[in-house]
Amino acid sequence: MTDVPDAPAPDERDTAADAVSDVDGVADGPKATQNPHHLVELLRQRRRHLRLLDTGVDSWGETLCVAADDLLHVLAFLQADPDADLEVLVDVVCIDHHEDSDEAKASDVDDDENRFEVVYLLRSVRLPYQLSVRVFTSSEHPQVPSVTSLYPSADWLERELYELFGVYADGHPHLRGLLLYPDFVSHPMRRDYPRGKAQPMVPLRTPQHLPVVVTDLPVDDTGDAAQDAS
Amino acid sequence: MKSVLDALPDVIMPDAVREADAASIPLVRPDDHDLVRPLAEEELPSATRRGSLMGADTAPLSRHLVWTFGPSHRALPFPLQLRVELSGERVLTVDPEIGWSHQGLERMLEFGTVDEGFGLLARLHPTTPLVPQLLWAHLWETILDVVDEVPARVCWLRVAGLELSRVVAHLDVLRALAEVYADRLAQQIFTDAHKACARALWTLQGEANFCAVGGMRDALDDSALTALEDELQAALVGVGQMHEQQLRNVAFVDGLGGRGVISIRNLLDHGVTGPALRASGVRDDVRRRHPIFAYDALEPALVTQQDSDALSRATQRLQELSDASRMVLQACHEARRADPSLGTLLDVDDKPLPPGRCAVSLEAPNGEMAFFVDVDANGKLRRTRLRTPSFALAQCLPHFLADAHLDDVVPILLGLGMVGTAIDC
Repeated sequence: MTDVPDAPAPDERDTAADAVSDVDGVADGPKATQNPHHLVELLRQRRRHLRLLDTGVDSWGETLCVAADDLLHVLAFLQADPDADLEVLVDVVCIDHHEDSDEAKASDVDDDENRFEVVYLLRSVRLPYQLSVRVFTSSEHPQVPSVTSLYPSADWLERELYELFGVYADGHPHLRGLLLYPDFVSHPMRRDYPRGKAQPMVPLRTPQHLPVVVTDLPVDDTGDAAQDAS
Repeated sequence: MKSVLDALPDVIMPDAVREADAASIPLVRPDDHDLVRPLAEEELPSATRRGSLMGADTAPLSRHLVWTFGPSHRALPFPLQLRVELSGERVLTVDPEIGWSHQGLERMLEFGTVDEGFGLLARLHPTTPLVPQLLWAHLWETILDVVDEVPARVCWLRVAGLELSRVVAHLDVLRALAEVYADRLAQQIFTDAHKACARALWTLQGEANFCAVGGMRDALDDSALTALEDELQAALVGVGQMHEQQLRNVAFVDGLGGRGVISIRNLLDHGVTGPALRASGVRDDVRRRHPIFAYDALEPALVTQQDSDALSRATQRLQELSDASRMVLQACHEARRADPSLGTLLDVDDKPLPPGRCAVSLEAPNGEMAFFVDVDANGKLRRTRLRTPSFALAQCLPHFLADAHLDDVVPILLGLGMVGTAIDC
């Protein structure tokens, strides 16, 4: 598991959370800027040793691609830095770049190397910033560092990530199933998962003695409801 | 005397003596081995099969409880199950399990067309399906870069639909809370208002048909809008008077006050947004942060509470309800004044989708709802991702319920307004 040297101390994070409640983070954050590349420039200025493989802007906000080894360092900085303050992990999305056609396989030599792309959607509550961080991992060793130490909300998201895509979150405290039953075979959200694949059936939960439901009172020969014969 | 046994000789009647002598069935502790689901749920049916827990050793039950919520079906073990560790009647730890009822909606959206997606997304939130459907429409309008071409009238009506959905969802939660505390007057008022508003929402959805990219399918005439306004105002008269009265109701205040307290840190850590976050004093609202449709002109009020308990969350919903109804009325008024154009409907499925990816979000009644799609170079939908506020709320349950009394668990759960179908989509 990768170390997180930039992770804020719990006390600092509590203080920051208290500050959030006093601030209207919608439009008038104290250090908000309209620069569309604010977060990327912040990273380049204050964390020069981190490699940003690709940057840009999309519908969510700023976007950047980093190596898996740098992921925790980048997220820890963006969460703790008061000029970024990305303290909400909105979602973790996995994209399988596997292509079915032979043509695509022949043209994309890096298919196996960068098969899975994991996108972390982040936003600030206090400042008007949103960011998506992208990480690629290979088909042979699909693994990304777990970010639960920084964002506890990643707990279920990474369980889902493993269960549906088979991408292992290294360092997750309790990586176990979340959505599928234990006998389910394979990872159903992968592109090469056969659409009509049959799965083991779940045994019906039939009780030993079926309950008897009395809908009508017993009727005697005369057609009247049963009553005391004596 | 004839009895049931005479008519049904094979019926199995409970044998209290035999059950009292039966060996106890201890419940096992949750087991967190990697990817191994705990077997506690296997034990519970064998205990309940005898019709009661008579004869069971009560000692394990007093420490560990497996608590199943929601409708039951033989094919599904449970929709929501809480493994609760107790100290007396106080909850120490909670481990939520959300069942195996994964719907595979994301996969179905990837295989289907964009138009089919509207129908599928109605499953996400059965009572207020308009919220995911409009986000789906906005998502494709963003990808196709036609957001600015959606007519003003359509934008106003979409906002009216979203806010009416918020009114319905909040009333649903409030009537459930009133039912828990047997507050008959409040229950009657909230139930009546909920029925009327749900009917108005159903009419709006049916007549306007919002399930389209770039506009609306059917025209909604001004008389229908006037009828909707009248119905909403009549429905919420009682609710407006209820506000102050509800806050003075001893059963309500004592029952919810100080229950389910959670820190801002825990809420943010678990991605909880919406009324639950604002009830803790955080001024966060996606409608103001990223206003879509016509929200920038409506200026949603940013009300907050401070105590972050179940009472604050209920009060927050009451106050948001009045602002949401104000926005519905204003949106209807503006829609009448706007150009009656329904917009140019885009047949997205007619040609290959534009390559690229898009992530958008809006403020659903329970918090931020975010959708993500990725289209490959061949114009094929490669990935669809739905992230609902109920998922974050379910994950945060251990913190909402920590140190709660057993009696308080149900009101705390109901006050969160989680939607089961939106948790595992």
